[in-house]
Amino acid sequence: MTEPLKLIQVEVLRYRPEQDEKPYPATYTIPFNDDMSVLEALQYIKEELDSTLSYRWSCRMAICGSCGMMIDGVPALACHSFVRDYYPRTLRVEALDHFPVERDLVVAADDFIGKLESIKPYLVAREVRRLDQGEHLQTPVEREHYAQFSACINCMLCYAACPQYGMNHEFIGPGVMALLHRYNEDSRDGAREQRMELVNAEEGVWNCTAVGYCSQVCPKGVDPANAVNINKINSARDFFLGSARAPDALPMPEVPVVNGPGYVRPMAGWWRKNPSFIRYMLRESTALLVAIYALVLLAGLASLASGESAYNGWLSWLASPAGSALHVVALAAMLYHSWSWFEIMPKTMPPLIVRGKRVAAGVITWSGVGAAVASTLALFLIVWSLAS
Amino acid sequence: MEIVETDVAIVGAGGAGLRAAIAAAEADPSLKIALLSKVYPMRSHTVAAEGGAAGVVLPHDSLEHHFNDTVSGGDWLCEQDVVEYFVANCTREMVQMEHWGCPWSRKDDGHINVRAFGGMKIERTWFAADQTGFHMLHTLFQTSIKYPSIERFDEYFVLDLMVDDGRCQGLLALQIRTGKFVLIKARSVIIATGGAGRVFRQSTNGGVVTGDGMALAYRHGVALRDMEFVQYHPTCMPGTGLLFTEACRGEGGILVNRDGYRFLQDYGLGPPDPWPRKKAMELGPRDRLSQAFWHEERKGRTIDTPQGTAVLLDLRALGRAHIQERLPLISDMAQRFMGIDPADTPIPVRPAVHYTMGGIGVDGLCASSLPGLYAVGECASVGIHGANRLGSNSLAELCVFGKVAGEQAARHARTCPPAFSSALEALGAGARRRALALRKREGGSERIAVLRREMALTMERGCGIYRSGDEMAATCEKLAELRARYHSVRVDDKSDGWNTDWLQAIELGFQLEVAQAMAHSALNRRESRGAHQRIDGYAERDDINFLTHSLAMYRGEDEPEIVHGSVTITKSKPALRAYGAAGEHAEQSLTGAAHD
Amino acid sequence: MKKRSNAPIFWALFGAGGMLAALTGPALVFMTARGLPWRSMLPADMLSYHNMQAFAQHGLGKLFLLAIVVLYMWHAAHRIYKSLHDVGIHPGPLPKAVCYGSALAASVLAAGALLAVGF
Repeated sequence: MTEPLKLIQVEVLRYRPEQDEKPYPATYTIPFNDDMSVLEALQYIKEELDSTLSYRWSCRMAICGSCGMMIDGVPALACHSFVRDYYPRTLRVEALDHFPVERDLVVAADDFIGKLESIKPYLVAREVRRLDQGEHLQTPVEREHYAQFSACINCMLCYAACPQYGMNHEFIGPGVMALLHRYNEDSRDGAREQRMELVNAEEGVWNCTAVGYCSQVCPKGVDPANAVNINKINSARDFFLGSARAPDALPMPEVPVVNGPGYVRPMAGWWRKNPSFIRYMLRESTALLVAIYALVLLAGLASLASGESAYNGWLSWLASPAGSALHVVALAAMLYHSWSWFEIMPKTMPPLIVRGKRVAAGVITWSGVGAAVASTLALFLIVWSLAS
Repeated sequence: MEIVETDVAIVGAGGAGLRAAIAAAEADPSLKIALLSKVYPMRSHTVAAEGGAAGVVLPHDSLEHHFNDTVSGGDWLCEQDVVEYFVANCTREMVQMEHWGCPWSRKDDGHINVRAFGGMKIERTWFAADQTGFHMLHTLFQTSIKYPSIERFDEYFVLDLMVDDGRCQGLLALQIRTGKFVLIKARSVIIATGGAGRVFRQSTNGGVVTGDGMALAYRHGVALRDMEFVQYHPTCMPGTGLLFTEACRGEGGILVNRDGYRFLQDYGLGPPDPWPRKKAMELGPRDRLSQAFWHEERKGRTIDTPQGTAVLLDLRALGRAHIQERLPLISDMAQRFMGIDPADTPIPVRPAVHYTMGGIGVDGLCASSLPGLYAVGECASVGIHGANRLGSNSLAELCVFGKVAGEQAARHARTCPPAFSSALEALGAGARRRALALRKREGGSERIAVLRREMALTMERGCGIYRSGDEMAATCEKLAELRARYHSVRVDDKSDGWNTDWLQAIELGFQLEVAQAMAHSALNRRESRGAHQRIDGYAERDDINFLTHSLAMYRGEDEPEIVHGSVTITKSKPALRAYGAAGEHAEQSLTGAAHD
Repeated sequence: MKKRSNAPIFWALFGAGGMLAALTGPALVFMTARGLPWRSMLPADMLSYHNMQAFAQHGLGKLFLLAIVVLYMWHAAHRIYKSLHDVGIHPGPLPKAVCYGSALAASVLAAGALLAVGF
């Protein structure tokens, strides 16, 4: 190696409970080359600078799920993140969000493990076969149906990404719900009705507000946001149309909350720390304008029922500076609502298969936008034809 | 110190450990099972295995074919009676995995799909995309949750076995989170801790593969068998050593040198066409392919990369769609780590240490020479791999022998004397004292990372793909020096909980002893067989003097003693180990002879 | 055993209202923005008392206006209730009553106004 090595500052959040009252940042300067992963950077620190640094790791190839951490404020696998992408800024490494910090970059995983164990995460065969009868048949299409959700490496990045889990540990969470969905969607499995009990609870799917960040950070393309939100449809269908429960099926035990030891970091101000969260809050806040606009229309209906002069009063308010300002803000909000609604729509739907191929998320979103444009034109057409 | 009493204690919760736990739980639900692992089960290195697990299914395949492929693949160092049991039970275990939910890849009619693998005459490798180990491990872990009698001890590090009265009666473990010690009294102990690839510099292995269980048994007088046989997987990422599965070649990938030439045809594996073809060219056995690389490097026909020399794995002929469907993981790895899209560009690859054929010597029932102690999986030498393992036999081994080990351990727990020795508490206290002494020592002068690096470098030199007596002897000397220097190893971290500095020091101790067993076994074997190839006048197989197992016996601070053990030959007499055209010819003359 | 949540009711209303707002919201705001420059693009008497009265008296017109007000309010109520949690106001009977109660009140008033307009 003839090229001079570059240097980078690595700031690691340290915490040794036997000595430290709370976590604190420590900065190390290390040489690196373009191949170096963040995991290798941590190994360099441990081997050459400070052997007291503790972290989990093993496979180095994003399949064992051990090395999940907050890298530059984003949940990521250290073995799959490269130092070159953070240079020349300081590389910040911290323990995974939303879990208690046991030591340095090690979090207490107890809650995740406890939840995973509680969902009947194994095949309950629909059709019992003896070994000598060979395998259950399952076509490639049937396998495709759940394959994506079976790819979860249990790295817990999605739990670090999920603010709902961060605020409320009773929420079953994205990864475990993806695993539950994997089994429900496996053509060989027959325990769907039992697992629906966990899905239907408030802490099942209903704590999810479709932030979608979990799927963004997932290193294996599992798309847990999809798994959770598909199950909102399943749960609602269950609720409105009723479900047949096997008469002898045991009720499912509660999904536990197992906090595990360690330093708990506060959630306050969580959404200000990350552009994805800021966009989410912006999206949610459009609801205020939707409500206000609906109330404006309600006022219009009330004035319409009261007579012409009352109604004309409403009309002049619409045209007033205050009314106009409101409309400008409301229009922006409605447009952003419309866009973000169709942007998240693919996540909320089961896969759409057309002619044997899965319809891409982008196609679904733009179709939605197209529908909005079409309905806008239709409204204008109706208005013009009524007027003439 | 906390004391736990159990019936079966299992050290290691990878594929073999989990399968054993399930088998023990099914054999007798009233037995208590303690399953310990220094990492959460799904982090075990089984997870990284990619290509597949063997099991005869095709109508034109047979147990005899699988048997012959395995025994010749192992260069006739296999325990043939054990191989017979193995091949007869693979398929049943793979079906069991399917019944437990394993997402095997399928044919269009819904039946299991099988693919070709190195050294195998007929397709018999069951696979789940290119993440078979991942899917098998997760299936086993999730299935194990069904059994209330399995109590898991996640992130517990086992420090020592408790042996008294001539039998193994438990172990001493450390809860990594707190640093608290726990003495587990067990009627049977199964070791399933995996291989020891990390005594080398470049390996496919994860950080946990440090030979812990091998050292634990070894220190208590159990022989480590055939340790000189270390498999170099021919197609790994230069630098990191990460694995590009054999399935790349099973699906039709080829290996070319700097001249774009399929060099394997020069090493008795040709002719190059037709391709793909079983047991020929890129589907030859791993030892032969790694050895070919070594020769090409010597001849200057490898390419240079910043991480070392390499040859090229060319997958372009497969097409993007096929790569995405069958080899998604390796495609992602090439792109992420190397910036290479295998559909457009060949991938630089080179051999790296992958698998430890040798291990804790056990019989066909997974029982070691120490009553009450069983071993299974890569940490064991049950006798099916011999001098070289065929791909996809290892994942199958975890299931077939996991079941055996679990059932045998359960039987032993029921039939052995129920009372534990009164000496166990004192033994436990002793082990605890020794472990703490390592941590508390002040003024150590040797750094863990330095010792580890020197060990890895000397192992690469002395126990590489080709070996010479001088280099092996130098490695043995170096390892003795490192073991002496280990007494002054420095542990800077004095904390109780999550002290990975301390744990790495303990692991280094295990590694040095296992490495020594490997190097001395290698020096002692004056022949070339399978993965142990010498270039110092012992280039041929010597079936007269060395159709024997190497048994490394622990001698404390001194170098290990190597003794020999006999090999069980039943149906397959040692013959020419040939692949490619030579292999087909040899086979034809064999069948010709049978007809006479 | 876990208690089944009644969230599906509110979620279904949220979903219907959100879709309706996504499809019609910008257009409606555009149309009622009487003080903004683009109003010249629309018929001058579009929102006149006579036109709107006729519209609101027609069965389909009633349905449309009711759907807009009711579904927009239930969509917003659910979203705001969930967002209160995001900014630290945790779920409970009081926030729930305020949010969904407002939606209920608005629905009743809208129905009332549409009946009062006549047929």
